[in-house]
Amino acid sequence: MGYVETILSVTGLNIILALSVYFSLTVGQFSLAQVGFWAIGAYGSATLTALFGWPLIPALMAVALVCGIIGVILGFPCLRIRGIYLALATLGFSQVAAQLLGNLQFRIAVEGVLRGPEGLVGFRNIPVLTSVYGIYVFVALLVAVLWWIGRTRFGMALAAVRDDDVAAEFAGINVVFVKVTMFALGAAVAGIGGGLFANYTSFISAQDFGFHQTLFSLLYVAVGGIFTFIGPVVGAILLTVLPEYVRFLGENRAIFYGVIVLVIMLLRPRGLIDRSNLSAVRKLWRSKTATRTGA
Amino acid sequence: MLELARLSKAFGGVRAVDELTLDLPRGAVFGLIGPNGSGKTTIINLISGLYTPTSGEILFEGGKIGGMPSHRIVRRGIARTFQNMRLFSELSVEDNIRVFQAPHTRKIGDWLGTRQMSGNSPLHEKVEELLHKLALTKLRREMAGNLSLGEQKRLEIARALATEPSLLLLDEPAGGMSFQEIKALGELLRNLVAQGLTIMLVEHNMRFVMAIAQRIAVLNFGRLIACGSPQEVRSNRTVIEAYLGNE
Amino acid sequence: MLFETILNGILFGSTYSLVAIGFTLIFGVIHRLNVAHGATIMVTAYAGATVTIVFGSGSYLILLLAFVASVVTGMMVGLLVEFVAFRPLSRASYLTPFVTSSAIAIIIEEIFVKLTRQVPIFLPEFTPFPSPLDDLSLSVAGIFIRGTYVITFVVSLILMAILARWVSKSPAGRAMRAVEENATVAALLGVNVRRTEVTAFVVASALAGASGCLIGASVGSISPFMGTHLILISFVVIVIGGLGNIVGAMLGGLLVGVLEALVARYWSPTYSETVLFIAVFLVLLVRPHGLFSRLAVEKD
Repeated sequence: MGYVETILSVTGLNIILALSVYFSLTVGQFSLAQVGFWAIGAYGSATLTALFGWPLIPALMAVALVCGIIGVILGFPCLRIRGIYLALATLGFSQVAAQLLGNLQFRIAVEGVLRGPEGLVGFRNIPVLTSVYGIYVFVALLVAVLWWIGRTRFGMALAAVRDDDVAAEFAGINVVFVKVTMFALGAAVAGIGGGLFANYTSFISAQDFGFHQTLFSLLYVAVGGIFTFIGPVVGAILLTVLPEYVRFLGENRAIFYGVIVLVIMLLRPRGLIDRSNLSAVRKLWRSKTATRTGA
Repeated sequence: MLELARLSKAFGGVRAVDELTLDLPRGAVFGLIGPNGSGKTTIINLISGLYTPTSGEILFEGGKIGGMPSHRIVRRGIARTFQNMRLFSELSVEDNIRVFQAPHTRKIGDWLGTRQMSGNSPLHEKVEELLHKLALTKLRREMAGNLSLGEQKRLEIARALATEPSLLLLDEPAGGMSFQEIKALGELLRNLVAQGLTIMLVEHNMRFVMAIAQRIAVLNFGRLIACGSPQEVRSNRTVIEAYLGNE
Repeated sequence: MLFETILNGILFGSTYSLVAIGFTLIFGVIHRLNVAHGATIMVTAYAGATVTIVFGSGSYLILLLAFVASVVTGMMVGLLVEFVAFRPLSRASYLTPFVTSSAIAIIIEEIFVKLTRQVPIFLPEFTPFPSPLDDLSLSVAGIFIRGTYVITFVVSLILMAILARWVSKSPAGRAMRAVEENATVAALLGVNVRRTEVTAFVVASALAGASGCLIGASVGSISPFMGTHLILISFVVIVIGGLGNIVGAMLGGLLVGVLEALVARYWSPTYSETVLFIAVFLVLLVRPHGLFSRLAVEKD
């Protein structure tokens, strides 16, 4: 695996994670549960592919379904909690899920070799069933779906719920249905992302799903901007590529990372992409696509 | 059309609405007045589903709606405005109205199609009609948060009308409006009633209510103390005492 | 042995109480979570450790010096965090200060990861925090109690009592309670809200310093990642106790100490954090304002 390919893949995975957080944000719910679903997806897909020989797509669909169902079950009580309380409750979910899965220990003999998660040591020898291309196919799918939703009445209903969920109820929108649905979708997306992660890196352990990872999922979105789905994409790209760019800093890389995040948030508290420069971004996009078609 | 049968709502130990029985006739403007804290807004909140009754019944076109979730009540044909206006400040004026067409967005195609889809869709025509009726056409692309108070009040009403209700509950629509604006509002309400809409109006502006309502109910401390035509209510002793006593 | 476990849990839990009280104090005044609180404690622990390592761990006097060093360091770090991560932000969003304080926490943690590798008196993973309390132990009626835990408990109680008195009696404390209730009204009544916020940070961080020294001395070793562990515990304690509720943080800390000890003893230490977070989730569902919220209301 070439260096560039690795960076692209990791970036792609982080984009998926960031977008999974965004799904809940579309209805104004700040959820930190996505890393928990990421872990479920990773361990689930790893188990299905390594121990039971499932191919990738069915494994991903299975974990998406499981995460979606858990997302629905979790989504209902989360309706009653808001703001920082919701963030803490979902953080709790992620911590619990990651810890329970990270300590799992069981092994099954596959073709004479024992395979399976071995507690804190991790889950080794997961079959590599995807590559940078597979990851970006999913990224493209997510981006297309989110872009389309933003232009429809459904997307408008989401924005309304996010703006004022009480008023949205009086518009005839079933707010409960909308919120739980988006929460479950975000869970499913995170589950698929986790599955892709496991079947890309072939080794997962508890450290991949800890508090720091949860913080990162938050940072991609906060730094990028929560106003539009482009924000989390930009945030994930920036915060994945930048540390690589400054490899020469060596040990000080992580410190630099924190400083960058801090500076960006202080200069642009609402993130890099917000309403004011969204139109600028759109114009840029249009001009680039126009020149490509030879206009 | 709307019947409140011994309706009560208690918050802790306080009875905001006490054994209220009321009949709302179809196709008229029905005024609901009373001193501050008499329970007027609570009634609207109960009818529209924001609150659940502690006891008693609310019947709309014969069906019980007490305690039903608000979005289902809206789909049955009851719309309301908010005194403090709950506009979607980050959405444009026309999008605010479009969101409130949710009860009539039946086809999946409408939900998933681009919202700017123009042309012959009845939904689109309705939006144009409302923008025109409430004099908001020029402001259609403005963000709701940037409008003046009077404009916001008009948008609040336009949205409620977008749900195509048969009963409209207005919570202090004239508050903060200029004399001209109130006149225009009165005309609008008369037009709507002429087209078959029933309106329940909660108001502090006594002159406005007396001029426009066909029937008025007066509340005090959550209880009904008078109900009748504007003339009857105006000269009712109990009503006068209630207002004087509370000042 | 159940009683022994519970007792030791309560005693050690007092450090969690101290940690959480500072955390909840800040939340009460500015209604935002200072995610860097754990990292602050970690820095103070290293400050205290430096004193005992450099000057020798034999005497209680040195320990006292370390304590002072920790507290002072805490106040300085607290001021820095307030200045960099909270002051420049308008109070509009609760997300942004969460992110900036997380960023500072990461920066501080990584600085110390680097520092512990380069500075000779520290060890890269776990640095020992020597103290004269190390070998102290009591045996009361057949129950084994670690001496450090008792000292920690007593000091924590004294500090909490001092804080309680300060909050209720001093002008600064009263100003803080006014801002907690309603900052706008407090400002109209002439309270300098800005200064009150900074004061809250300083007091909370001084408490953080105290807990840094106490935790370092009772556990016996410190690491750059102890901040992360402590901030997670803080989340648990303030949810159980009620966000902004000081009495709740105190009682919550003890409860968490007991829960942690029980799970470690009767199931496995690995799962103590898991159980705690399940508790967080349940509390947020059933009583989001904390288990002890009514207690605080009655006291008013």
